[in-house]
Amino acid sequence: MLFNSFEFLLFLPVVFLLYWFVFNKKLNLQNLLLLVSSYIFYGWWDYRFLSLIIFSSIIDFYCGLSIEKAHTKSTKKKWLLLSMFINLGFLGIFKYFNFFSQSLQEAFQSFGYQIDTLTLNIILPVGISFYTFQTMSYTIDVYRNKLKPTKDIIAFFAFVSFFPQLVAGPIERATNLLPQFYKKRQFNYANAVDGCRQILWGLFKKIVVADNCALIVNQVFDNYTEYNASSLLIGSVFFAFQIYGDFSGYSDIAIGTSRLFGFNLMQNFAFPYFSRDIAEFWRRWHISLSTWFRDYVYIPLGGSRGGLWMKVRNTFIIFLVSGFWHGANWTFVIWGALNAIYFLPLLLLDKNRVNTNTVAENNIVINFKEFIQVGTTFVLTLLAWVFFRAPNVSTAINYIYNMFSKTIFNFPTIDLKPLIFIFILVVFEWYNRTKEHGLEINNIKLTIFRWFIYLFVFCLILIFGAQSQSFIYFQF
Amino acid sequence: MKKFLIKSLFFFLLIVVTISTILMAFGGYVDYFYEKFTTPKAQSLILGDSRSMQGIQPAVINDYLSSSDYSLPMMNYSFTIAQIAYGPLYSESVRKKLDPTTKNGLFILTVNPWILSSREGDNEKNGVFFEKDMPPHNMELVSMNPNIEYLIKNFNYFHFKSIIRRTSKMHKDGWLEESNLPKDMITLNEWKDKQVIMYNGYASEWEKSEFRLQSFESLIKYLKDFGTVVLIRMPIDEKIIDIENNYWFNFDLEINGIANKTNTHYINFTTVNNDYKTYDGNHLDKFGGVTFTKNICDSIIIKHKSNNKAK
Repeated sequence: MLFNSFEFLLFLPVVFLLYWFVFNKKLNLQNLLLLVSSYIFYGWWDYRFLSLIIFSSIIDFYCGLSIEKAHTKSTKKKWLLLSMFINLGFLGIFKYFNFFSQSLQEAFQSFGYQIDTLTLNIILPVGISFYTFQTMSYTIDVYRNKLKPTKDIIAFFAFVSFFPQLVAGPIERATNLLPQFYKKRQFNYANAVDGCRQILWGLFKKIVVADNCALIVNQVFDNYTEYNASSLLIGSVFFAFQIYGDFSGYSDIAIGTSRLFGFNLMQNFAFPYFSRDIAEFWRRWHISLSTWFRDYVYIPLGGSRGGLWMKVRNTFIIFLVSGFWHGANWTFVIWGALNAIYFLPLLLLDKNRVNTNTVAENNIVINFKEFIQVGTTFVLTLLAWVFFRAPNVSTAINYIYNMFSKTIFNFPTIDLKPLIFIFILVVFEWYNRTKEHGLEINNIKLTIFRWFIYLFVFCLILIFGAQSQSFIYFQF
Repeated sequence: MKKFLIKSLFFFLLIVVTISTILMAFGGYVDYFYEKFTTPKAQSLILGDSRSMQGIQPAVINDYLSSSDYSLPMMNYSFTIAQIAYGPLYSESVRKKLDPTTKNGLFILTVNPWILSSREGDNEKNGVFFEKDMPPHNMELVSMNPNIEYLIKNFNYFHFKSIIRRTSKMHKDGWLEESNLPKDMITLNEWKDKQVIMYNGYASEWEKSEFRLQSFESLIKYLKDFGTVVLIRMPIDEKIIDIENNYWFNFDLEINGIANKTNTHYINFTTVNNDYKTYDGNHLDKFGGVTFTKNICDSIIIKHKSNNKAK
């Protein structure tokens, strides 16, 4: 079920009312309702793949308990490895098998050998990368004694499949989300109202910004040889906002929806395009994934504690793995590598933690230095996004090559209307850049003005909402 | 919680009022079909795809045949080729839209090979039809204003941004007025080429359907109980006619056969001097549509007179 669908518009109030008015007497019943609702939500797309989530939940529930029961470190490790083997095995088969198979074939071909490799005719289960990482965080944290394994099977299953963030995150840590299933949730008016605002803002980012940009982006990337350089540049800007609107929009809807049910999810995007360097960008973009890799990959590898070589190696590993997580294509790997290259100078000069505050803090207008920094960072991300969006590496290289031609000074030949929506997005988010989301306007005291803004955003969605498109991150 | 529910309800009502206001003021612009389901049951109908939805104007017929004994006004209950093909589902929807008290209705059924073809995924004998979940087939209530059922089931069809451009307007009588016409010959030819590519695609993927032909015949027989049925093949660009003739070489012969069997008239406008202007080779523009609709009326009057003489 899509957040931007009519089904969800009916589904959400029904679950909300059942949750607070029918199943509110017992915590277990509330959790059971969330579990059933989550399975309906996921099964709406393809009920067959529910079996994967259920199987993964059973394995991790059992592995968690077994890790605790085990008396020796090596036995604990065996249970952890079993959990990781199964979770990563699913991910490997469904997401990466064909990629490795075809890459192997191409590698042999380049040496003049013709080999037949097996490819599987399988579809990628929606959200597999998200719930796999979420459930793996549980067994790893249990293994590290950061979390007691749960004996409450309903709470655990509901944690794995919690519908607001099941298919596209934020990838919650078991240490944050699971304990929320043990405690009786209280309805909090202020939290629920702000949750609704966040949902509205998420819908605006998805339906108005991302989907309108998508129409132009598809046109430009599919026929990039026919456009002048300025059009290609604007096309890449549109993609930057498409992916931001799409993904952060989903996160906003997920977080807002969770707040309606008394849950608090982590912030996943903190206005990343206002970053002054790449390190800051990565502290603000897809935070749940970045911190996941930091905690479960980077730090176990030694982080930045070792020597220079160790720092460089670990940085590259984490960015390459992050790229590969996004999809089985060399374009994603290069996207990761480019970001590692951007990041490296900051790391080596020990300047990766310079910009830890908010841009133009305590000011309305940005100063010239910060403006240049933000602009430069944005341009660097643009180049990397071209690899992220292009169907293959050669297209990405040609696209960038064509972007740096004399026609950069010609007027763009593409529809520029999405710039209006991007402008509205940037104004709102700039105004609220120190807050959790772009429509956190509870400080506006005049009720009628707040309601006017809600209605304005709603009308933008209604009138300018583009043809419904699926969320990009569903494929990851 | 109480405060939250009250405010949510208030916001919901505000949204409903906003949408209703837009629909009442600009309903014809925001959806190609919505208005068709908000009007009362009709006694005379035009059926077919987008060719007839844009090319046959009920207001012209109402005016031209005002002195006739047909039960008017006319309702254009055509849709587009994306939703429509003759078959049990369309027939069922026509039954819902038709006023059962009709005695002397006029039913203009437009035909072309595509509207009588089966498409990928169709399994007609087992009741599997591509059009099942689309309007008008997914509509139970076809004469309700405002039509909440349409809003719920077909919200994706709404394109509210059209209230700004206002280039296509669905009139209450079911006629779609298209004002976005090509400004020069280059654009016209580009649009024509697109149509040619589209129909070539259909020709390679779709198949003539005996099942839909039989269903079409049944619909004619059903409508004959309520008045006069006329079958029309609409004028289009020669390139598209060629595609259609290659795709279904004896189409006219077969439709003539059905017309004879059901004692109705088949008027084929693709074979007469084609002076009607289309804006893309496929759809008559709103000016050419007036002339064409008058010509249909003339043909109907002539056939009517010859029938009376024969009697």
